[in-house]
Amino acid sequence: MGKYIVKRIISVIPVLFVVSIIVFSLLHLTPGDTASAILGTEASQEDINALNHRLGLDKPIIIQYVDWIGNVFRGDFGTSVASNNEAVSSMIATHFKPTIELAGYALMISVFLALPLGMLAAKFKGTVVDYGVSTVALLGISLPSFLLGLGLMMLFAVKLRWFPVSGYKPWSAGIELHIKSLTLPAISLGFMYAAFMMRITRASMLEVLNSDYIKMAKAKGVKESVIVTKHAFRNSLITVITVIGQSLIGALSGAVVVETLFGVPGMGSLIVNSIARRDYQVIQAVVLVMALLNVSINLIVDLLYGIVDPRIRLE
Amino acid sequence: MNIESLELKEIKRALAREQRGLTIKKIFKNRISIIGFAIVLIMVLIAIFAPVISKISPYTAEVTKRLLKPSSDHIFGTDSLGRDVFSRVIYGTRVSMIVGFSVGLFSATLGMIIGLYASTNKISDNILMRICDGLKAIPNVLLAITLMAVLGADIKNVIISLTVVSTPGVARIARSSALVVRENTYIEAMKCIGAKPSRILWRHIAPNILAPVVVQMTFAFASAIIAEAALSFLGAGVPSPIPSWGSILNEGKNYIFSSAWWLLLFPGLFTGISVLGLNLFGDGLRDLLDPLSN
Repeated sequence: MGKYIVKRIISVIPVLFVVSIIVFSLLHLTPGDTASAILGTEASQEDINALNHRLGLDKPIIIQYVDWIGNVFRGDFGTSVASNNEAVSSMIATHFKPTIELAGYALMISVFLALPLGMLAAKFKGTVVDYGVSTVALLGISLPSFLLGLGLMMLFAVKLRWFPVSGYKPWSAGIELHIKSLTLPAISLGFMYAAFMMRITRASMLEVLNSDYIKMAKAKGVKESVIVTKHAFRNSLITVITVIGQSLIGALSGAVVVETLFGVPGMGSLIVNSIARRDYQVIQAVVLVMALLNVSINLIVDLLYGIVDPRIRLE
Repeated sequence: MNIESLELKEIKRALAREQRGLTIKKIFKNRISIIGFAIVLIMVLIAIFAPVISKISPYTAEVTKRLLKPSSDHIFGTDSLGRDVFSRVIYGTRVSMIVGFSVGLFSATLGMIIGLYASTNKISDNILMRICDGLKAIPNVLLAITLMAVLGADIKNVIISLTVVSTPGVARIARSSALVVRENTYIEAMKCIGAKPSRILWRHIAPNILAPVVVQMTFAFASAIIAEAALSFLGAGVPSPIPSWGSILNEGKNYIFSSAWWLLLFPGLFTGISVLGLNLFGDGLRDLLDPLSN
């Protein structure tokens, strides 16, 4: 197991290197001079030169990269040009929590919705239940989260007034308010992943139930409940872990749009606002942090594979 | 001998039974994918014949007719500038179809080329796939929106950004398919008779990985439609006067308290139905072309 863990962790390093190169070059893809793009057309040449110097853009590109990555390792993402030189790292820190809360809540909703429904569809294959679940899943996959969010907002916030239209209430404002402010965004975000999970749960359940060892267990007269919990569940764990990992990654990515729609001050809102203000330092930092999170989730999923299925460790 | 032939007969009968079951299933699946195809075709026709379908220009703003409910004059109502929503939704189909199709085509082509070259040797595999892994590590929407911020709001740039986002996924599938095809005896045979590696790659491997790539293309098409709508919804997609489903939805959000439901319902329906059509078509196509994936 130790060797497996080390191997997995080492395999992440090249990916992180490529990510850092991509994120670093994003700033340099701006057409023309970056500083004048940030400051706009009315800026004087001195201002542009000063900003170029401050951002280190007048140095050779390799030095710029080394400086930048060195600072990133120390947790220093520079300062925001647009919002009064606030440290980018502290902006990230305040915007990180709402995104995690939203993605976690969305994931919870989709797991509680999808796993039972997917299993039901597999158990009653070819019946109305199965077709119903499959249709809902297909519709869910075809419905972009912001579209569902707009519909939910119109119905439950504007017409029925059960939930606030937008705005985010932190824990400190009271648990009920906090959960209420995140419920509509979480449903809009979670539904698509619920659909995806339902499909995969159904398919993997069917595969396991049709396998020889389950037939064998049935033939031996093992109780149905034991078959499901001990034989089928353990063998479909790999799929469950994969799907949950993928959905979490998807939810973190999809949060960008949903956060902006519902005014949740998360990483998504931060990047959208920063784009309008041409605050490239913040954009870089958000992309890098989210990619890091993404890679870590994938790494954890890989490590869990090793725990759940010992065969994987040997490959 | 007798027993053996009996068994053989039994096996053949069972096989025939199985095949019959398969074809019935296939026809059913095909019917669904035909519906999907029809939806996509209708959307493409709407995009092509937009000027015929809608007589009113999507750009004509009439200040006296702001935010009108659907009526016989404006069957989808009007927006906050008094522009006809029906016309804007119809012309918006053009943007979605052009972006979706281009992204599907470009990412399939690029992904296939990358996947094929990655399958040739260890070094190119490592370089190409690590770049793809790096791109995939960045959440899709974030990568697209950042590229848009850097490149500037323009349809061409929407296509470029979304192609960058969806190419790594196609490349991964193309690569693994190419690796499987490489194991076949006919590839070995081609090597033995001295065929050049590039000939083997393009004449013998490429055609055999086309099926999974085409399936991926339909899914890339669908996600590009969603992504374009999302980008335009965030104001980072197609620039403002050009009609796009996402930008109409964005306006609908701004007027949600005026209960301007027609600004949400119609572009929303068009987006959802197009994506549904592509997903149905893609699912059917996968069952047909790529039976191994099931």
